[in-house]
Amino acid sequence: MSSKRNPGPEYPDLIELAEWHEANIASLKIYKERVFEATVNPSLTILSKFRGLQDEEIHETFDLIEDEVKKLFQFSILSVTEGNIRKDFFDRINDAANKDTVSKKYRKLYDKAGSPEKARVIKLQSLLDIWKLTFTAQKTKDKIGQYKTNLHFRHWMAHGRYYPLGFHANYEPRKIARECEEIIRMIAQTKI
Amino acid sequence: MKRKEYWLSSISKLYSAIKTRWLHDYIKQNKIVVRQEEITLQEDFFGTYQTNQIIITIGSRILILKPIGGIISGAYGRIDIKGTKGTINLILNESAQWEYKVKTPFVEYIILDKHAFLEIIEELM
Repeated sequence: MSSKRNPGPEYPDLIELAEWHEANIASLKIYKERVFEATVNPSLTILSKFRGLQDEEIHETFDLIEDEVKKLFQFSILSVTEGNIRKDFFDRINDAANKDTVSKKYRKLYDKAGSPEKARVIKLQSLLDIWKLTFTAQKTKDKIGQYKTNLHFRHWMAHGRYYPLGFHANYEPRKIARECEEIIRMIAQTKI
Repeated sequence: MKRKEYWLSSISKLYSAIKTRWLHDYIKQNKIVVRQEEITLQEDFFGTYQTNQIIITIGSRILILKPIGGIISGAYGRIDIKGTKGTINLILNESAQWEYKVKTPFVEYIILDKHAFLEIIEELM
């Protein structure tokens, strides 16, 4: 598995996602300026949603939108990372030539699951635990640990936020993308 | 007309329409009481100034039309109509018409007329 893929709608590159987040925020800031401009020049066309707002309300509205956009990109980056980890899982078990420790442990997990369908729903935490034991460098273990912590947020988003989130390391998508990209690269390079 | 004058005169015209046309019959029959109160607004662009809010009373229920400000996005002023069941925003357009905010479910603004105003009263009280 390569850590660098061509970005595309189905399998986007993590760094691209972080940059798209920044492009979204930059666009929102430009639109926010337009809405402010529409307080001075009310004939300026703006979306109905943003009509009738005082300065403080404009700030509050855009803060909410920026926060939501940030969450969506954080979620997207964490999900694509999960996809990469799971794809690596199937790549390893499907290639009998892989004799490394992780592939062996993965095959045990796969056998325990009993079928490809059940293997697809093996807990991501179980795969990550194998990686945490495999990597020896503390820095790498910490990155896996951080990703595991971020999964609380990923699940909260995926399940519709119906329960309180609790702790959320609300990092910028750029930081999350860099850390996740590193995990994916290390996994791809690891044939222990 | 300057913007502040446009805003303040439009408030007066709206109140006048409410009292002398839209609610006139109900007021005459003592079914509705409308009274006006002076309020003070402060806006960076206009400074501190006086205008009025109106309070509509039907039995024990009350509805307040309160001017919020003349400097708002995409319009020339806003009045909020507040009742026990919620708040509806009115905004002033460049044709001296008032539009009210609805969610259908997306935000839209519709021209306010007598029929719409009576529906708003019913909805908020």
